[in-house]
Amino acid sequence: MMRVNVIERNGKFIIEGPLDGEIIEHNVPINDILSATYEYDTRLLLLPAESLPKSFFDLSTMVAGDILQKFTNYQIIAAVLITEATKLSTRFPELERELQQQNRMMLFYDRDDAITWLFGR
Amino acid sequence: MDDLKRPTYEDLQALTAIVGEENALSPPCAEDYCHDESPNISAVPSIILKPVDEAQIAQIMTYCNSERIAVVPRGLGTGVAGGAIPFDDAVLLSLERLDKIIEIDDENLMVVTQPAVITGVLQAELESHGLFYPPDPASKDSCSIGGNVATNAGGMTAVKYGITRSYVTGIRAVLPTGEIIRYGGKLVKNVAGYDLLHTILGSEGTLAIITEITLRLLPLPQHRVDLLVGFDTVDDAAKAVSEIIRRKIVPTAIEFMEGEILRIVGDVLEKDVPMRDAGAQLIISMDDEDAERLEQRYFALGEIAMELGAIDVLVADTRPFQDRLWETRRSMREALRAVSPTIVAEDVAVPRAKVPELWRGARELGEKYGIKVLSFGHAGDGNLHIDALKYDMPDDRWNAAIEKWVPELFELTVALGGTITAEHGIGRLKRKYLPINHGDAELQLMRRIKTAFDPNNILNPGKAI
Repeated sequence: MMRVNVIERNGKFIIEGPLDGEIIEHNVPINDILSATYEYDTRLLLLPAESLPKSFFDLSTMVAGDILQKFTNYQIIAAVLITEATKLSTRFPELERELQQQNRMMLFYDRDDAITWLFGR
Repeated sequence: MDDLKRPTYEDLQALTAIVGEENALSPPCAEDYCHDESPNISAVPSIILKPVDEAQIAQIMTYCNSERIAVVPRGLGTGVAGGAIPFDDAVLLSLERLDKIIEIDDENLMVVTQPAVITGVLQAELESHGLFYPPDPASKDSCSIGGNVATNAGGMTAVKYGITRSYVTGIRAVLPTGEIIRYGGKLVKNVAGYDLLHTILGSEGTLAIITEITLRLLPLPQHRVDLLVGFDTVDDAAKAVSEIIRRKIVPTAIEFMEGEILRIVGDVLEKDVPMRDAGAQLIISMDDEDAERLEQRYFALGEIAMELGAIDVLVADTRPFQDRLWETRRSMREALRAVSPTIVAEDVAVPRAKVPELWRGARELGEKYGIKVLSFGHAGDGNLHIDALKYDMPDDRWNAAIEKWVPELFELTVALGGTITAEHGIGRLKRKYLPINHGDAELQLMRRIKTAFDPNNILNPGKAI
């Protein structure tokens, strides 16, 4: 089972992870993340950018679509914590805007901002 | 029933003397005993007796038999076919005081228990000994093991482990005449004479009052995993069930949930239901002694599901996660009652391959009579819980529609090779439909069996047959 951090505020929980460098590209790690959200009865997820495969940020690979579909199936609301080093493809901001409109996923440079946004959902 | 006597004041005094005043209740002080979980039927008995042992039950039955007074036995009142509902002139005999686990026998893998032990409590106690009693009715946290035996209850795990009948090896019981009988015991095999055990089992309290039960047990499975699989359509889900069985994977449970019910559960209980837009979902439970083998089996099963067009396969391999997945399934009846307090709930069963036909047919019959029909249940057993929801339909229209929908649903079920009740029993509610299920010769034989056990027809008359 992968290692995650659980953030609690006023009885609401955010699952942060994976924290051990695992990449949630395949079914097993995604399932582990979902398992953690169900155990804490939450849909709020804080994902470090390095836990996503590089191809996630390159829309031409369709990887983002597959992972986002998984999250949609389980009503997951995710904040992705990116850094200056995260390479976004030129069309990625279009997807980001669409996701923002649906309130399902946002990208953040600051962890506190990400947590505040998630607890506000 | 016309030959039965209304208890007099003297009768009530004599019966009270058997159990003591502290164990006799006179209406109207006991509303809970006037109904079970069956919708919209209740009645007030003449007296409620709570015997503390078999000897008191035998005395009560001897008295009532000699006086021709009807006795209605009751476990914990969770039945949904009206089997424990009393009537005005009856003695209601509650078994609630017989609530002890008598012996857990690790050497023979058996447990001996009194009937009023809650099934879930019994299972938890056995688990603490590394033992496993598999039958798993949805109401296991409130129903009694005696009620399970009296109705031959099923449950979620029947696909792999069978039903209550598969585990009962012995009983003690009091006959309507007051005689005490013992049949079987801690025996795996027993063919001495007619099988009275399996005649009494499932007889819904019409042949004898069960006072002690011996159950065979299994070692507790070491590893378990549950899969939640979403499909776009009910047909896709049904095909997956057939394919899983055809490939001999044998899960512990395969539960089916129609998509519309998932959304009702989500909305009513304000729960995030996974894959809530699915047309249907299956919860598939698997267990094994060997973790690696279990992994191979559930991977194979997941692949089958994806080949057949599953939306996704979610794997729950921890207890809290598993509990969350089952929460939706276990909350269904509660959620449906929240949107429609009046529900007619049928539990028919057909050969597994006929489940899609049954589901479609039940729905079409609902449309024919303007009734909303939704289904869920034990797809691995071919057992569907088909619920008709009244919502705000006027009573006269609802009653007229149900009067036609129920028998036509039963006729369809029997035509598909099925049975009108898979686990709830006939009780009072389905008695008039029994001739749809059985021919005259079978019904006559059942009546002769009833007379052999209960010549004066005092025990739970008007139920089951």
